Amino acid sequence: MSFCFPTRQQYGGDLQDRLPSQNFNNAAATDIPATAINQCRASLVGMTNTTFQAYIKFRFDSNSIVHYECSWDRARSVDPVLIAKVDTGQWLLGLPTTVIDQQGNVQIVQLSAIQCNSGDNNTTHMSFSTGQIVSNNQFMVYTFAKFPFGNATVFVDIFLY
Amino acid sequence: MPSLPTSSSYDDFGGPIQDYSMLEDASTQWSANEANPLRASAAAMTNTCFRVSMKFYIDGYQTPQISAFNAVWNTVSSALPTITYTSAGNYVMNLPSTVTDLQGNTQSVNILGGIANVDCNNGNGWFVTIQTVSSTQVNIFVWSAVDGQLEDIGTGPTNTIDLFLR
Repeated sequence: MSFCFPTRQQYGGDLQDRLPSQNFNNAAATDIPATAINQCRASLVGMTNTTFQAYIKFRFDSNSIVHYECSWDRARSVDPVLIAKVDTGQWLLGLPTTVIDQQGNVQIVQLSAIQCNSGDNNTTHMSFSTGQIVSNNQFMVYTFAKFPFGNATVFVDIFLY
Repeated sequence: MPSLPTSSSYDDFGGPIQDYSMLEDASTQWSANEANPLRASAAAMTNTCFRVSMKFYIDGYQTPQISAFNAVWNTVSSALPTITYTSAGNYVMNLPSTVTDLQGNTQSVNILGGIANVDCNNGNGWFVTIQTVSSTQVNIFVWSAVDGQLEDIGTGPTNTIDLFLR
C-alpha cells in the first residue's frame, strides 16, 4: 500500500467529453478525448499501488548513502540514516517518522515491504542480503555469506515499499 | 522537457494550479483540486519506478536469451540490452548508452541499482545478486545454495532470471 499517494477518488472520477474531440491522435492534435485522459489517470493510479517508495544504495564500510531516491519531496524531508550496526552483518536503518510529499503535505511513513540486493563484485563466495521492516519507519538489513558468515557485502541495494 | 527515464519534479509538470473559473459540469470538467494530486503523484513516481524489468535464460549453447523486456523508454530492438555469458553463473549485461524516450527525445541511460530473482522450480536452492558496474553495465551472479558457488541454474525458458533495475 502506498502511504504517500491519494486514492483514485481524490484524483476525480472518469470524465466525459463536453464536445466531441475533433483533432486528436495525430501530429497536429489539439484535443485529448476524455477516454484517453481517463485511461491515463487510471493507469497512473494503478502505478501508485505498485511503485516502491524509496531506493537506497548503502555502502556499509563507510556508512554512507551512495544513492537515495524517494517518492516524497526529498529537499523538504529528512534523509534516511544508519541508526546502528546491531551485530556482525546486521544494520538498523531508519527513515524519518514523517515526510513532506510532493504537494507539501505531511505524510506519516508507513513501510510495508523491503527488497535487498548484495551489489558486490564477488565471484568467490556467495553473499546475499535480506531486509526486515521493524517499525513504520525503520528496517533491518542482514548480509550473509557462506564462507564466512558475516560482513559479506559492502554495497546493498534497498527498495522500500 | 524530457520524460522518463529522466526523473521529473512537480514543478516540471506545472506545479499547483487553480480553477480558472467555477466548474459548471463536473462530469466533463476536471477540477484543479483533483488534477494537482495526480500530477504530483506522477512526478513522485518518476523517482521510484523501476526503469527496466526483464527476464532472460541460458540456452543450450550457453548463450543468454532475453524472453521479456520492459522499460520506461521505447522498447524497440535497438534499445534492448545485450547479455554475455562470462562463466557458469556469471553474466554481463550492457544497456545502450542512449535511448529514445516516449516523446522522441534522446536520453542517456543511468542505471543506479537493482534487484533480481531466480524464477525456476529447481529445488536445489538458488539465488541471484547483481552488481551495478556503471550506468549501463550490470554484472549478474547466480549462486547455488548447495555449495555456494556460481553455477548455471539450467537451460531453457523455464529457468529464468528476473531483473528489476532502477
